[in-house]
Amino acid sequence: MASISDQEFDLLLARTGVNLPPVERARLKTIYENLKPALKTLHEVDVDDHEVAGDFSPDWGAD
Amino acid sequence: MAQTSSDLCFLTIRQAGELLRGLEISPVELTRAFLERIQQVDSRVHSYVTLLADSALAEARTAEGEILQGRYRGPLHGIPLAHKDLYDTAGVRTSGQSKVLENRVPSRDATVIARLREAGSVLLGKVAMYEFALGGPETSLFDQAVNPWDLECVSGGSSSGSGAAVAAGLCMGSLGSDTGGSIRWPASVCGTVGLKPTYGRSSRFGVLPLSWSLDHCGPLTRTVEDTAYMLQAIAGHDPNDPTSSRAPVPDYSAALREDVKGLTIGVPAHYCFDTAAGVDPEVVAAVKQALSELEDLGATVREVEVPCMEYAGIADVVIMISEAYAYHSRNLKSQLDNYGQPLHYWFTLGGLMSGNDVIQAHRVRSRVKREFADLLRQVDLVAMPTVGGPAPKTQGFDIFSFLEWPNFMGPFNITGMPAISVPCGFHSTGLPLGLQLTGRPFDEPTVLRAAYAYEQRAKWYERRPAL
Repeated sequence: MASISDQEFDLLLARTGVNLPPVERARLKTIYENLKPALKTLHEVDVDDHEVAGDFSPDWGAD
Repeated sequence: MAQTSSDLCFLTIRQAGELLRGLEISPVELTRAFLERIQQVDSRVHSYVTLLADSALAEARTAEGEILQGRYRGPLHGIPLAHKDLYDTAGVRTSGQSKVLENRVPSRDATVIARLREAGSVLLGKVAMYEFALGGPETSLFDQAVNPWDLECVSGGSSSGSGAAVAAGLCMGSLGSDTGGSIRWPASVCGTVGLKPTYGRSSRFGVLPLSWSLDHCGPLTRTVEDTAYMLQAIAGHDPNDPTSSRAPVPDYSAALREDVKGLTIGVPAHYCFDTAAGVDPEVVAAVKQALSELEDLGATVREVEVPCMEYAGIADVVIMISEAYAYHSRNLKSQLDNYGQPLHYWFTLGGLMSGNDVIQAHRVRSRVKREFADLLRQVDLVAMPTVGGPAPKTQGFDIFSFLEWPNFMGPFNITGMPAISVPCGFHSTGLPLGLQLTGRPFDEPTVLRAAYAYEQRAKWYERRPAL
C-alpha cells in the first residue's frame, strides 16, 4: 500500500488537535501506515444491508 | 490440618470458603497470610500499585465476627481479593495507572466493587494495569507487573496485575476489564482462568472507560468454580449503567454440576490453527489436545467456517481507539506529557480514523454479530486458542505488534458474547497457554460448564510458579 504523504498525514494529525514533537509524529506516522493494510481489509468487507442500528429496549426508561 | 501461610495463599476460593465456614481458619489469618506473601514476593512481581493492609485486616475482622455469629454471607465471605486500578473504590486512589489521574480518589465504589463488598470479600488492594487499559507495559505511573512464571516476560494486558497477582498467589481473585482481550490475554499467559461475561451482564458504572461499547468487567481466578462465584456476586442489572441487562441471573455454580455430553463445539480451524499466520505450533497442539479431552468427556467437536474471524479484530480495534480518543481528546491536547508514550500513540491513532472508517467498523460489527448468531444455531460453543503464543519477553516488546497477531479475542468484544480463557498446558519455555471457549449471549452457564469439565480433567491449576 502506498504510504501517506507527510502533508496528508499532518492534515490528519492537525484535526486531532494533538501537538506531537517531530520524533513522536514520525513514530505515529509509521504506526498509522502499518495499520493501513488492516483498514483496507476492513473497507473491503461486503457489509451488504448491515446498518449501524441502535438497540431499543422495550423496558427503556423503566427503573 | 497444618497449613503454611503460602499454602493458604494457593487455596482456591472454594477450599478457603469451606475452611472459613467451618471455622478451621479465620479471615484474619487468611488475610495476614496474603499480606505476608505480598511482602515476600511482590517486590519481584510488581502486581500491587496500592496495598490496603490496615483496611483489609479491619474488613477481615468484621468478616470473622460475622462468621462466628453465624452470619455467613456465602462463598466470598472473608476471601481476599484485589482489583484492577480502574475500578472506583471509595476513599482509595483509582488512577488507571496514569499520571493524568495520579491523585484521583473517588467518593464511591463502582457497582461491582460494592457488590463484592456486600458478598463479604476483603479488599487487599489495587493492582497494576496497562495505562487506561491500553497503553502497554510502559506506563506513566508505577512499575508494571511481570509474569510470575518468568519474570522477564510480560503478564499480558491490560489487566496485567490481575493475572500476575492471581497466578503468584497474591490474591484469590481479581476483577479485570476486557475491551479487546484484556482479561483473557493475562489469564492465558499467567495460567489463570479469566472470564469476559456477556456485554450488559456486569455493570460498568464506576469503571474508567476505554471504549464504552466494548468494555466488559469480569473476574480472573485460579479455577472456573471460583470464577463462577465472583460472577454470581457481580452479575445483574444496574440502573446506573445504561447498557446493563435485565436478563435473569442464573445459578452459575449449579451449572458446573452438569457434564458436557451432548454439547457441540465448533472450531474455526482455518483461522486459529494457521501456523503460517504466526500461531505457535505448540499452542495448536495444546488446544487440539484439550479439544480431544472434551470429546472424551462426551462433547462433539467439529470444524466450522467463520469467515469474519479474518476482519472482526480490526473492527474491534477501530471502534476501541475511536471511542478512546473521544473520551481522552481534551486531556490529550492539554496534558499530553502525562500520558505514557505507547498510550498517547494509541489514542491519537484513534483521532486519525475517519468517520467512514468508524462507520464501516460498526457495519462490519453488525455482520460479525449476524455470522456468529447463525453459527450458534448449529453449535453450542466456539473454541480456539486465547492467544497465538505464550507471553513475550518484556525487553523489546512492542505493544503495536498486537496489530499483526491473529486476533482471537477482539471478535467477542464486538459481538458481546461471553468468552473464557482456561489453562490448557505449558509451552516448552515453561509458560502457560490458554484455551478460549465462547458461547451464546447470557449463556455463561454453558461456557463455565465446558471450561470446568475440561479443567477438572486436566488440572493445570494445580501447578504453581516458582517464586
